[in-house]
Amino acid sequence: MKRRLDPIMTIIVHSSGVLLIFVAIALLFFLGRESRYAFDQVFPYGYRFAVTGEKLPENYDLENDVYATVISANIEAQDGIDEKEETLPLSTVDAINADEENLPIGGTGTYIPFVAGDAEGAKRADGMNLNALDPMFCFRDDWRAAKRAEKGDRFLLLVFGGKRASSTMKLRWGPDASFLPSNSPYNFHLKLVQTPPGIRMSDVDIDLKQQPAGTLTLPAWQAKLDADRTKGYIFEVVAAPTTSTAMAATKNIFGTDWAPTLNYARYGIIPLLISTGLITLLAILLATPVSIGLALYMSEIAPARVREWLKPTVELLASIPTVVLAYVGLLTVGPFLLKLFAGPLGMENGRSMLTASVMMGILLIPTIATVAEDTLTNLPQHLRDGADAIGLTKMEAIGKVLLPAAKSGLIAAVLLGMARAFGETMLVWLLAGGTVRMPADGLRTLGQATKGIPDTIGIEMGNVTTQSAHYGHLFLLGLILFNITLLINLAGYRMVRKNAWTQ
Amino acid sequence: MDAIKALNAEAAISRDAGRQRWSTIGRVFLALLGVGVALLVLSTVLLILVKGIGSVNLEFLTQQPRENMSKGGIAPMILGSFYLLVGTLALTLPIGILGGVYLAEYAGTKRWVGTLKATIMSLAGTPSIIYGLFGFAVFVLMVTKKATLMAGILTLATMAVPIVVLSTEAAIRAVPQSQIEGSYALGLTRWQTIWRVILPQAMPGILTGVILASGRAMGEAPPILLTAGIFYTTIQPSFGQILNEPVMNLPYHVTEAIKQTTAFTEAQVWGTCLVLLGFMLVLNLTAIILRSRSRRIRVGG
Repeated sequence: MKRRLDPIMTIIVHSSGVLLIFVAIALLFFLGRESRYAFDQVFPYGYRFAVTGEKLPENYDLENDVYATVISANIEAQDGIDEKEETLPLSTVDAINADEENLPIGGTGTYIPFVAGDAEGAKRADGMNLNALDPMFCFRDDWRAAKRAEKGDRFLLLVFGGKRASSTMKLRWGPDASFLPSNSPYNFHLKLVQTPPGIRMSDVDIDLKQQPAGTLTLPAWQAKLDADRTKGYIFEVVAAPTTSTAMAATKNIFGTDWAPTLNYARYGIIPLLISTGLITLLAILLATPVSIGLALYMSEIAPARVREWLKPTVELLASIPTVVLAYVGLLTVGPFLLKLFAGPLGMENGRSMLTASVMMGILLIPTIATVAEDTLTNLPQHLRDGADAIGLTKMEAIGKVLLPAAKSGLIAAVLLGMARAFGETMLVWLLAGGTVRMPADGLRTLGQATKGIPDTIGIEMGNVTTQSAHYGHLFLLGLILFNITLLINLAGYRMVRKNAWTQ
Repeated sequence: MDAIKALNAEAAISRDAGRQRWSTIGRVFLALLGVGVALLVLSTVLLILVKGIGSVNLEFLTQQPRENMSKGGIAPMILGSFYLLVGTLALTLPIGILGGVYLAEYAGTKRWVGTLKATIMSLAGTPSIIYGLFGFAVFVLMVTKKATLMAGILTLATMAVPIVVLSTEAAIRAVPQSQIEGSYALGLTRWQTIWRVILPQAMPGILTGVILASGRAMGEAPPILLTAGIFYTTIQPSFGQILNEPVMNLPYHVTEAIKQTTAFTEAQVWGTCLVLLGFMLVLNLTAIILRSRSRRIRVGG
């Protein structure tokens, strides 16, 4: 009877072995699958246009010019931005002439005859009679603009002067705040399509990617009546996609700024990667000597009774939850480091890269020491006996015989610790301060707040819209993190196998 | 000549004395290091104990939180963490044992077994936040559609299983080969040998691994944050619905309490930390007792 159980159990046991491989594949698959949203995103775009005189008032800023026109994508569905539906009408001639405070000399506005991807609308725009433009349907700030700039999409940009316009006026343009034209898959050309009566000008065709900000001097032309506003200069802003969205997304990933909540979100992972790498490196530098020394003490020097107590004590450190350890660090190590380094490193509060690294170093001690101790204990006794026989002291035996013999095992221990540090979330989250920063200030970087890969995932997953670009990028970070730790772990595993003294 | 020999001998002695001195210094240094690390660990634990013990009382352990969580106890968090732990234990025990049995007894030394072991070791070292993301994408988005206790348990189990498999394999390999061969010699089948000879002997070691791995998984905040956690809820589901609701739990609570410094007093946070650490200490103590028992059995047998 019982014998019949055998084949069944064989199948069950085998399938549970296969299940483990399946877990690894599933991890890769689902992280990869969700990170596709990083590449399938809509890039918002935005340029500002304004008309000014030759001389600018002091502290003039295109960003704050209330008569500037924004040609931009509808960013209403972006992360962290409230729905914005207002459309500001084109400035009236009276308003421009009456406003002494802003000293406007002219106005701009756009006319959006169609929504992107609307083939009918494109045709209408082609056959459009510019003279029949109705100023009532021109806007300064129009959030109904298309989300994508498809090839051939265009906006009409109206430019007219007020009574203060002298002999010439200037059309100024620049990217909207935080918009990086070089990161955008869309390109625009600024073309002149109509000049006011009596004014002749050569053709204008400016590539806005090559010249994201600039000025264009125009002979002044005043609009006397509101109805005249469409009779002045008319420019066309025509979309000309340059790269695919996926290419642009890939390019953005290698950027140096992680700012998902900006209007024009940036998802550069380089600062996160560097910060996690630096914290890991520092922690390893701090933990390795201590851990290997501890392992040597436990395996070579400590009497059996001391070892029996010391080992569980070290393991106790490994079982303190990292949140608790982070809190201890926040209230002890943080203020301590602040007292020491407030001057030399310019630390502002207890939360810094250094604090996270020091606590991480403590966290790594059990990880590295346990593996290192295993390696050292597994060294064959004849190595120690031989060292004794040729008259080496204990320290000489350790330095000349035992450590070289255990080399690959010790490297494995450090590698495993490195993988642990690279993926540690809570310590960095609660101790590093959470500010994305490219390390630029030399040693002072250590005293500044920073943000790494795992904690970015932890912090931002909490309030992200699923399947948004931000969501995709967080999974992409996860995928990158998984691959890095996988590689480090596999290298560590190889080192363990290479160790001549284990099986 | 004799004089030169004597001088040489003297030099050798003094050189030896120098070497001995260095050796002693090294020993003392390493011993101090050992003591230092032990002190570091004990002082950390003591700090949590001293700071936290003041706020841990019967009310703290058994009451619901009140007045925006500024008063009352943390009973639901303790209960939530307990559920997570029990669920993880229940799932990892069978899968972990089967996987370990597979590695130790069935897999043999085929080439791809090396790959499998490397994979399992890498999974054991994979950061918990990765499992959190995985659990969110699979268990939350595809299975339960919202953060639930079930998604949390499944995630934590996924995280703990590789570690349990490795410790189970080690425990099984520690069973003396002579007994296994004896069992086969008596005509027992492979599974009968495993069930009657190997598992009973390896069980304390296996349980140690399962308890430690599940406990550590339960104490990790990131996977729970993404799959099972909720900061505050008043829903007290009936027993049948418990798996389908998110739970308050200790790691999440500590995380939020540290972030929201205004809402919580330091004493409360320390108290919660102590309770969470207490969980771990109890589990570790269980593991240590099991381990020493297994040693006794092996010595006795």
